[in-house]
Amino acid sequence: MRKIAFIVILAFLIIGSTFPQNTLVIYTYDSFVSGIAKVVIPKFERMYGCEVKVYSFGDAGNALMRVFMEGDKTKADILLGLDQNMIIDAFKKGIFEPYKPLNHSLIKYPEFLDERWRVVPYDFGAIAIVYDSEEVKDPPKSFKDLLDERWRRSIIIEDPRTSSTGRAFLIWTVAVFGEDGFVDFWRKLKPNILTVTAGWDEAFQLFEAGEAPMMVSYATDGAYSYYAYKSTRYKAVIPEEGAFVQVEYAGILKFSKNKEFAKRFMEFLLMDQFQSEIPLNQWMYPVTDVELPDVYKYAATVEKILKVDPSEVERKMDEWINKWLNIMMEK
Amino acid sequence: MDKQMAQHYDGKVKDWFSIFIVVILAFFPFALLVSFFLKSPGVFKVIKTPYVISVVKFTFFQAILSAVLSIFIGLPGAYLLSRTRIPLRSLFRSLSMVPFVVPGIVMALGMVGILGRKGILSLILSIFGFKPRSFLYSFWSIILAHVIYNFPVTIRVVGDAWERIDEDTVNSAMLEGYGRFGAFLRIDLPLLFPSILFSFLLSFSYCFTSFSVVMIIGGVRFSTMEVLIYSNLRSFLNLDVALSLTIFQSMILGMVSLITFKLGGFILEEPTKVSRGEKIPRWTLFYSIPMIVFGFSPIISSILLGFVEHGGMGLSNFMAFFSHDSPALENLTKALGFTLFYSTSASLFTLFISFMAGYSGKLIHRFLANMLVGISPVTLAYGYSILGKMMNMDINSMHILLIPIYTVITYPIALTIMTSTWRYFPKQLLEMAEVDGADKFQKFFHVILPNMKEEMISSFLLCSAVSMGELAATLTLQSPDFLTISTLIYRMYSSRHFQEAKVLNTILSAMIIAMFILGEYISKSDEE
Repeated sequence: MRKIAFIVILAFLIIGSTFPQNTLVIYTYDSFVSGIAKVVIPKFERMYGCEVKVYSFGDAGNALMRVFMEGDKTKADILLGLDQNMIIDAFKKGIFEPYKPLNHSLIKYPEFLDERWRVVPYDFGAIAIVYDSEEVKDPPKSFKDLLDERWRRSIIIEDPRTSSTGRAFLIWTVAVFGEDGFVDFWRKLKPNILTVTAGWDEAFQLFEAGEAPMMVSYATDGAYSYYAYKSTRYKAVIPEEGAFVQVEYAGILKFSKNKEFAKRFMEFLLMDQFQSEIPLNQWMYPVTDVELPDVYKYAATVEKILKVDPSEVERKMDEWINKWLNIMMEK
Repeated sequence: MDKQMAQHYDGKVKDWFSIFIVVILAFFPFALLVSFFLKSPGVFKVIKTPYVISVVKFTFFQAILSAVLSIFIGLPGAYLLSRTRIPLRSLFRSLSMVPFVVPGIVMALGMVGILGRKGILSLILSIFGFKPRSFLYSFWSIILAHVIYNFPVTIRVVGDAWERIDEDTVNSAMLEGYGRFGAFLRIDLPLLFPSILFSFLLSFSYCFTSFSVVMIIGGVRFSTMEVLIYSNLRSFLNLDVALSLTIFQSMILGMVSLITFKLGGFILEEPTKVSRGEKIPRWTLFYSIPMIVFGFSPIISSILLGFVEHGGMGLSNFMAFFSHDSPALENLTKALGFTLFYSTSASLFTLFISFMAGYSGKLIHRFLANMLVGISPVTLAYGYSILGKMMNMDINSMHILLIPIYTVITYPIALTIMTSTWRYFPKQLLEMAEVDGADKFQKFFHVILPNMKEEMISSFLLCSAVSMGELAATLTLQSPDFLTISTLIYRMYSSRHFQEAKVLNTILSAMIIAMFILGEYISKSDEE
């Protein structure tokens, strides 16, 4: 018994170590930690001689919730990974300290910028319709094509209430058809939807099990499929009406205790050392002018970016979701 | 008289102790969350909206229907297992654990494997020239999935009571001219009523809080309260709505447990000899084959997941998993260590509390436990992270709080097992030991432990299995140096390491199933 107690206490002591002085703490989502962080964080640590601790609490929403709950006691210096819709929530709580990185001119897309520099964009991705090319020979080219009768019960989507992919798809349809038209679109799309899943993972598993030949996913899926499996079976298509992009941001927290390192990290996000790692780790597009790897020729191309005002999204999202729900509940 | 007083006092201490622990571990962090975030008494305001009302109605409706049908489908199985010497008895019994441990998505994939577009049924029909189609994504497929995952609960709970019905009573009814079915209606059914109600309660609570099965299998139109709670929890500004709904859901589940127990009364029959002398009926085969196929589909699909690859089955996922730069392999040992340490620590603790609470079998324990079923793990984890902050805990060590969280999550299951174990425990043995002058520890080690060992081990293994698969709360409290198998799976999926994720799923399922088999083996060796 004593032995067990000793081991337990020892384990607590080992786990409960504290932070050294020059440590930069980042809160983010999971795939950042297990992916790109492994490549870029050591580079930053070498460049600035500090230690970086990256914490994830599942997805970006959870990380934001964590910062909010910790308040002024937070250990975090940077919150990384919020998209343009989530940052509105964060702005309302006033958690960021504005900072304009010295190398800000590298950013290619002025439309992504926050005018007060509370956050800095570091990558973006586009939602797309991904299809199994063995079953779909003539994929839909537009949103109108998606309504065709031949796609009855053929598409898997994610629930906008529980999934960020699902939410982005809903916003996309509002961007294409406007506030008046999107309801009608969804009403017509409904017979073609096989099911709605809570998250992207579940949708992908059903898609892979052959339940439906199409799903709502990401523009780079085809590139990834080729890169990982040398397969071009799953392809992505962006309807001709234009792409809806999800931009990811990072910001310095107001209660950060390490602002100098945090500022350097903001600049680091825009350097080639970071940006060039984005395509094959994040499977997103860089925001600066770095070259894309060869496999990106299998990704759906983003030709036209649809503009959506995030503050309008924030104001109206509940209303849109309710309208969407009403359609889904109709018999 | 003194002895009786002492016993009464001892029982009271056990009751109060376990109630105190449950309140501290579960309701205190939850109350903390409520006091922080539920600024206005939003409970009734939220529940009055037409959409929420319709969701609550649907949640009730599908849960009642699923639970009732599960009982109908499970009763023949309970009969076979308890009254006859049917082979594969322990196989059927082990099935009853499936709904508690297999994650919703895996269950759904199991259904897809049978009823999906490329599932077994579709394949059989295609031989006769039918076009492949899916039989899922409707109201009835939700009910079907719930019944499949819950009929084994009836088999176990009702079966345990059924094997204790005296053979002579049944035989004398049959001598009076009633057939076996007539005797069942007159003798067995009234005696089984409390256990049927209890099985109803377990299935109802499970279906009431069902989330992914309803969403995936049901399709677009259907949501349960749990879906609403989750979606509001995920939305930064709707935490108060989520908390209001959680309080409401928790109260409903608590009340349902009260009503069921009031209706059924308490079963405190004396332990009798177990008899399994009845003839195996003719319908056994027709019943057993579909039950085994359906009942085992989630387990089989979770085991096979690692072998499913791009366009077929094979070993390529395993090859990717064992390749030198695989991020999953790199973290496997650490994840295994944490998973085993936390799940076993929590399970020991759960076992201890449920052992205390199960002693008196008082209704209050079941009431509290059922209220816990209504609090989602992620809500609990939010409450605990506030608690951790208040205690100035370091963020790197906060995952230690997973021990009480896993305890809370597994407590309702352990309580079910321990209550029934105490119910059938020959308490006169304790009195006899006392007469012989045994003290508390001697009673525990020489009387209780030898008689309860098997149930304790099986309860411990079950709780460990549930804790091992827990994801939502674990993700909320993780830190860079900490991960479990389930969070590693999540991490692999979210960073597009699908192959590794699938292999990890297979490893986790294999671990869980191995624990079941071990638990069942121990129970079986006890019977023989």
